[in-house]
Amino acid sequence: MLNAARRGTPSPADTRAAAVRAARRWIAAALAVAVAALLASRGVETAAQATINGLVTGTYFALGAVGLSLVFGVLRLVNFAHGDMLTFGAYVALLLNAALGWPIVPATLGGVLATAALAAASELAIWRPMRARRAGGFQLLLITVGLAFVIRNGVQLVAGADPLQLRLDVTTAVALPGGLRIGTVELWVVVTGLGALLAVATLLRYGRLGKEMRALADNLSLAEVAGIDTGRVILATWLFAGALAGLAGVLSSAAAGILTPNFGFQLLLSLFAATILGGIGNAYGALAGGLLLGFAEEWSTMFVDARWKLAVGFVILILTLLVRPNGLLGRPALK
Amino acid sequence: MTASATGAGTAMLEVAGVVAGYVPDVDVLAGVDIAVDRGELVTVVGPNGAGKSTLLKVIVGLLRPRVGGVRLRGRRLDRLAPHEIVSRGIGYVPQLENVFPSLTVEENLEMSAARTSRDEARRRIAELLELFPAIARARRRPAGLLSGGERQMVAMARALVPQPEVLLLDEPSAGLGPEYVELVFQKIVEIRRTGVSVLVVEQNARRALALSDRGYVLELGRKRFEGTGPALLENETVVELYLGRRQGGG
Ligand SMILES: Nc1ncnc2c1ncn2[C@@H]1O[C@H](COP(=O)(O)OP(=O)(O)O)[C@@H](O)[C@H]1O
Ligand SMILES: [Mg+2]
Repeated sequence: MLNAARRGTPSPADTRAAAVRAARRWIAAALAVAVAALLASRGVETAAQATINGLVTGTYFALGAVGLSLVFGVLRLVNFAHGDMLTFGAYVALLLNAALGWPIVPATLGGVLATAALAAASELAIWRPMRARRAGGFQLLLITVGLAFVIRNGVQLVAGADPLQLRLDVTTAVALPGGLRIGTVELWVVVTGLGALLAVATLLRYGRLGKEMRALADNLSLAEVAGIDTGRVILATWLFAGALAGLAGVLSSAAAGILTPNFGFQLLLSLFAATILGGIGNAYGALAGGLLLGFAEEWSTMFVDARWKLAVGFVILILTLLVRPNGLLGRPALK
Repeated sequence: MTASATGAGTAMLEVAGVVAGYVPDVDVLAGVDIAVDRGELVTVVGPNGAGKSTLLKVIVGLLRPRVGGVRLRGRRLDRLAPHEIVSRGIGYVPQLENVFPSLTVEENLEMSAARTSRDEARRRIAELLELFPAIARARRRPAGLLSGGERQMVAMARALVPQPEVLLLDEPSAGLGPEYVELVFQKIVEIRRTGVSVLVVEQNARRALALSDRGYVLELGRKRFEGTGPALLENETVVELYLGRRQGGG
C-alpha cells in the first residue's frame, strides 16, 4: 500500500521488477518445453489423446471453480455445498433426459436453471438472513457442510445410490487432423463449456454486473456506499455460480458417462485446488487453474496410474503455491 | 448564511439528536446535532476517537442511529440502505480503503453511475477526469497501483459521479504528501464552488477551518463548540484544547 510505484523515470524497483518478469517468462517457457518433451516421449498420439482428455476435464473443472471462486470472492464464503450443486444439476438433467425423455439440450438447460434457482433459494433462505444476523465465518462454513449433505442425501432419496447414465450416444466420434479422434459427446462438452467460460470471462471483464461483482469482492462496504445495490449483486452472483455449477455437473457426468450422488462431492477437492491454484477469489484465476489442473491430471495418467490423478493435482497445487503463494493470478494484497 | 444553518428545518442536511454506537450499551455518539446548508463547506474537528467518522457513517447509512434522525432537504434518510441514501444525493468518501483496488480508475467511477444511462455515465466520467487531471492519465490502471494521493483523487471523483447535493469526506488529506494535501484542499474549494455542500472531517484542522463557512468541535461523542471557521480559529479554548499551539504546518 505504501510502496505503490510512482510513475516517471523508471526506478531501480521498476527495473528489478522487469528483470523478474523476464526471468519468469524464461522459466515458464523452459517448463513448457520440458512438459512437451516429456509428453512426446510417450508418443505423439498418446500425448495428444491425453491432452484432449485434459481439455475435457479442465473445462468442467474451470466451470465449477469459477462459481466457487465468485462466491468466495464476493461473500468470503467457502462453499462446501458447491460440489453437490454440480450433482444436483446433473441429476435434474438426468431426470428430464432419461426419465421424461427430453432431448439432451433442453434437459441440460433445465439442469442449469434448476441449479441456479437452488443457489438463489439458498441465498434468500439461508445466507441473507445469516448475514443480517452477522453470523461468524465458522458458523457459515458449518452450514455449507450441512447443506452439502442435505443436497446429496436429497438426490439419493429421489434417484437412489446406484450409478445412472444420461441418454447419450457415446459411440460416435469425430476425426481430427493427424489421425486423432474425439468422442462426439466430449466435443460437445468442450465446445459448450469453453463457450460458457468465454461468455463468463467477457461478462466479468466488460459487463456492468461483472464489474460490480469484482467491486464487491474488493470491498463490500465501499460497494454499498458507492451506491451499488449489493443485495441484488449478491443474488446475481449466486444465480451465476449455480448456473455454472449446474452446467459443470451435466458436462462432467456426460463426459464420465456415469453419475452417482457422490460425484460432485468427489470433484469438490479438485475445484478447491483449481480455485487456490489460480488465486483465491479471482474468477479468471479459477478459470485458468481449472484448465491447468485438468491438463495436469490427464497428462499424469501417461506416467502414473490414473488412480493417482487427484494426488498429482495436489502436488502441482503445492508446488505452485511454493513459488507463488497467492496463486497464479493472485496478487499480494492490493488493498 | 451562517445564522440560517441552525434554524430548524431549513438546512440541506440535518443531523438531529443522533445517538449511535457499534456495540450494545456503548454510545459513540451521545446526541449530536449538526447541519449543513446549501453550498456550505462545514468542517468537523476533534480528537481521535471523538466519533467524527462514526457521524459520517450514520449519515451514509452504514450505521443506524439508536435515537434521532438524519434528513436531507427535510426528507428522512436514516433507516434507508446506503445505496438508497447515495441515490438521494449523498456522496461519501471513507478515510481508508476508499477505492476498488482491482478495478481501473475508470471502472471505479463507473461503480457510482448505477442510475445513469451509459452515455450519460461516460459524459459524467469524462467531465470528472477533467476536474481531476492527476488521475486522468491513469484511467486504465488498476486503482490499487496508484499512490495514496492519486487514490484519494479517484475516491473523491467517484463520490461526485452521481452529482450529490452533499459530499462527505473523512480525513481526505490524512497520510498524503504535502503536494497532495494542497491539491485535496484545492479540490474541496472547487467542488464547493460548483454548488455542492461539503461536510469534511479533518485532522488538518487549522487549514480546513480557515476555508470553511462553519465548523464543529466534537469530543467524546458530543458537540463541544460550533461557529464560523474564523470564530473557531480565534476561540482560545478551542485553539488551546483542540488545535494545539500554533506550530505552522496546519
Ligand atoms: N467498527 C467499530 N466497532 C466498534 N467500535 C468502533 C468501530 N469504529 C469505531 N469505533 C469506536 O468508536 C469511537 C469513535 O470512533 P471514530 O468515529 O472512528 O472516531 P474519530 O473518527 O473521531 O477518530 C472510538 O472509540 C472507536 O474505538
Ligand atoms: Mg476517523
